[in-house]
Amino acid sequence: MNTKPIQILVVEDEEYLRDLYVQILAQEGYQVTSAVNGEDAYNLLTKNTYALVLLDIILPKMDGLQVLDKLKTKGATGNKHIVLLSNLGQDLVVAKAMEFGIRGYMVKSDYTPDELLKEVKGYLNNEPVKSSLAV
Amino acid sequence: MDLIIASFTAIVSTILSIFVYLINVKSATNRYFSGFILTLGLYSLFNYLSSQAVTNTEAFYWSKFVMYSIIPIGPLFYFFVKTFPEATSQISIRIRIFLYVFMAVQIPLIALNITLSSVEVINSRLLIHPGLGIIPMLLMHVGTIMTGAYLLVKKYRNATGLLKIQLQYITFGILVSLILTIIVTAVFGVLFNFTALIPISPLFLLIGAGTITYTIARHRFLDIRLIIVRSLAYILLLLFISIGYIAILFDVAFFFNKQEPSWENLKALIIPAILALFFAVTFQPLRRIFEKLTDKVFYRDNYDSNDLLWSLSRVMASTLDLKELAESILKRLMGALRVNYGSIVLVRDKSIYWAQSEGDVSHHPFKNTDIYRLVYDSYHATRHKEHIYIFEELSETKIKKLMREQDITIIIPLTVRKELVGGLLLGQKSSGAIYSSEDIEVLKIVAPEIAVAVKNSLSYDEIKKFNVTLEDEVRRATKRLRSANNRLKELDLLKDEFVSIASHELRTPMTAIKSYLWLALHEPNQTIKAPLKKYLNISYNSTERLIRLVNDMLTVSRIERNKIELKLEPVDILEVAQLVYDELKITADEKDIVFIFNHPKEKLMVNGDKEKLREVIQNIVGNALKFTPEKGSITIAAKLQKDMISVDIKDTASGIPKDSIGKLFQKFSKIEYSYSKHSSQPGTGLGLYISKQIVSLHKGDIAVQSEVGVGSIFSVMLPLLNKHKGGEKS
Repeated sequence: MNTKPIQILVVEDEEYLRDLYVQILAQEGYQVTSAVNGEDAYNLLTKNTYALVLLDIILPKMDGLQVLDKLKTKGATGNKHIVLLSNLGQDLVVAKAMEFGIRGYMVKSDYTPDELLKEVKGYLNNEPVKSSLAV
Repeated sequence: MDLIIASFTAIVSTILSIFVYLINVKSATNRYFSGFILTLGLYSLFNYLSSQAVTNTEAFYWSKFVMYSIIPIGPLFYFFVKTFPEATSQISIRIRIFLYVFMAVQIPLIALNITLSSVEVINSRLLIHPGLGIIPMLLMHVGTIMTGAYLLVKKYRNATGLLKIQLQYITFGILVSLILTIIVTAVFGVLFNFTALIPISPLFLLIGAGTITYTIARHRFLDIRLIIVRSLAYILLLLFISIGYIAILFDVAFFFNKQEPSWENLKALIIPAILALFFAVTFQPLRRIFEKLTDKVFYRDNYDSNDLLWSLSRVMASTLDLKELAESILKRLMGALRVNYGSIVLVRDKSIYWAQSEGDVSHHPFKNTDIYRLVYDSYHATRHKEHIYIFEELSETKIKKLMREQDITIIIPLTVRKELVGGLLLGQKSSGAIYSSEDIEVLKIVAPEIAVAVKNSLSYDEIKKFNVTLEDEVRRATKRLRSANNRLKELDLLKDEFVSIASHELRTPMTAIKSYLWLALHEPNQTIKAPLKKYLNISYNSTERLIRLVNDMLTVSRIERNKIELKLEPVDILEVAQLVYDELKITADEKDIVFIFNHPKEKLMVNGDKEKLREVIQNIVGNALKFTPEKGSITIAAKLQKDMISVDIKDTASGIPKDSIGKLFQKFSKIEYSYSKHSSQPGTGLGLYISKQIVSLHKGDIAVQSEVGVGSIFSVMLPLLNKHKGGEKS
C-alpha cells in the first residue's frame, strides 16, 4: 500500500450501487474513480489508465457495449482490464460483450459485496492489467 | 362442221342455262345469266338454220328468228352485270320499263320487215338487206353492252379475291364473244353485207361459253361446284370406252359378215372378249386416273386428305394448350387447303369470347357480333342439314351478305354433344379456286374432332385458371401467414426485450437491497440485536429469492424460445454430482441430515453442458435438502443401466401424492404438500421445470418415484457417451 494505489474505475449510473461499489473498493485501499455515464467513462478511459474497470452496460448517453466498440475503433489494443458488471444476463449480450475481448462478465445481483470483492481481487491478482490504450 | 358448232353451242348453252337457273332460282343474277346464255343458244341455233337455207324465203324466215333471238341479248347482259354478284335486282324501275318497252318495240319492227327488208341466198351464202329498224336494234345493243361492259370493268377493278377472278374471266369471255359476234354479224353481215364469216360466229359464242364454263368449274361461278369437273371426267371416260367398244364391234361385225365360222373365227371372238374383260377390269383404275387428271387440271393445289386428317389428329392429341392447339390446327388446315386465313372462335353467353386466327387476318375483327350470329346460325339454322356454311352455296340471304362483308367463305360450327362451342371460319383459297368436295368432306370430318379437342382444352384451361386462382389464394394466404409470422417474430423480439429490460430493472434495485442488507448484517463494528438480525435475514433471503425468481424466469424464457445453447463436452457425471455433494454437505450437516454419495469407481461420461447439469443436480438435491426434515437422510446414487446413466437422489421427506407427480414439472407448480411452509427457503416454482427442460435437451429424462410418508427418489437419466467417440477420459 506504500506504493502507488491501484486505480479502479467504476462505471455505474445507479447511485446506490455506485456508492456501494466505490465504498467497498475504497475500504480495500483501491483508488476508485467513478463515472455515471458511457461518455464520461469513455473520456476517462482514453485519458487515464486503470488496473481494473467495472463497466455497466445499460448507461445513459452511451452504453457499455458502445464504449467498448468505440475504444476498439479508437485503436485500443485490448480490453483485458475491463470487466462487465451488469444486471443484463442474456446469453446474446454476454456473447457479444465477450467478442470485445473483455476480462470477465458479472451479473450484479448474483454477488454479495464480499463476493464481489473476492472477484475483483482475483482479477487483479491473476493479471495486473495495464492500460492497453494508446493515447 | 357448222352443224357441230351450232348444236354444241346450243346444247351447252341450254344445259348451262338450266343449271344456272336451277342452282339458285331466287338469285336475279342467276336468272338473268340463265336467260342470257339461253338466248345465245337460241341465236346460234337460228343462225345455223338460216345459213342452211336454200331459198330466199326460207333464209329470210330464219333470219327473222335470228333477229328475234338477238333482241334480249344486250339488255340481259346489262341486267346480269348490274346484279352480279349481289344477286338482287338493283336496277331502277324506269330503266327496266324503258328497256322492256324498247325490246317489245323490236318485235313488230322485225315482224313487219322493217328491221330486215330482205335476205337473198347467193352461192349458199346469205345476203342480208337491213331496213331502218336495224338502227334502234343496234342502238339498244351497243348501248346496253357498252354500259354493261363498263360496269363489268368497274366492278372488276373494285373486286377482290374470288370475285375478281370470276369477273376477270366473265368480262373477258363475254366481251370477246359479244364484240366478235356483233362485229361479224351486225357490222359485217348486216351493214356491209359481208356474210362470209357468219357461219363461224357461233364459235365466238363458244369462246364465251367456254370461259364461263371454265369460270364455273374453276372458280365456282354462280355456285356450280363440281358438276362440270366430274362430268368432264365421265365424258372422257365414256369416249375412251366407247371408242374401245366401237372398235370391238367393228371387229365382231367384220367377223360375222365376212368370215365363215371356223376355229380361226372362234379364236378371233376370244380377242374382243379378252379386250372387253380388260376394259371392265381397268374401268375403275382408269376412272381414277382420269379423275386425278381432271383434278390436276382444275385443282392444282392437291393434298392427301388422309395425311391431313392424320396430321390433325396427331396435333389434337399432342397438346392441351388452347392457343397452341388452335394455332396448329389452323396452320395445318390452311397449309393443306391453301386458304388465305382461318380462325377458330369460341362462343359463350351469346358472344365470341376467344378467337385464334392465322394467316391474313389484319382486317378481321373476329370477335364481333356478326361473327357470333354467323356461327350461331351455321349451327342452329342448318340443324337438319349439314352443319356448314359455304358462301357460294348459300342463297342470297342476310347470312350470305354477312359472309361477304366479313369475307368468310366457310363456316363450320364446332359442337360437342349438341352444345355449340365455337366455330371454324375459313377465308378464300389463295389461288381463288373453289373448295373441292374433298375439302368439304375433310372439313366435315375434322370439325367434330376439333370441337372435342377445343372443349377438352377449354376444360384444361379452366383447371389451369382455377389452379392459378388457387395459387394466388395460397400465395395470399402465405403472405398473410408470413406477415403474421413476422408480427409474431416482432412480438417475440419485443417480449425478449421486455424480459431482458424487466429482469434488468428488477435486478438493479434488488442488488441494492441485497447488497445493503448484506452490509447491514455484516457491519463489523456493530452488534445487531437478535430480532433485528432476524428481520434483516428474512429480508435478505426474500431478496435472494426474488433474484433467483428473476434468474429462473430468464432461463425459462430462454428455454421456451430455444435460445438455450448447451456447451456440449464429455462430462463425468460423477464429478458433477461430487461438486454438488461437496457444496451442499455443509447445509446437510447444518440440518443434521445424513448425506451420502454412492458411486461406482469408473467414470460415467455423458455428452453434456457441465454447468447446466450441475444446476440440475443442485436443484434436485437442494429441493431434497429443503424438504427433508432434520435427521432425515439424502442419498445420491449413480449407476449405469444399459446405455443410460441414472443419478438417483433419494430423500426421506414426506413424499408426493401420485396425482401431484405430474404437476411437479410444470411451471410455478406449488404442490399442496409443499414444504414451503416448513421451509425457510421457498422455491421459485420454476426449478424442476427448468431442470426437466435441460435434461431433455441432453436427450435424457427425470423420473420420480414417491411414497407419501416414506420419501421420494428423483432419477436424472442421461445417455452414456459412446466410448469410441473418445468421450471417456482415461
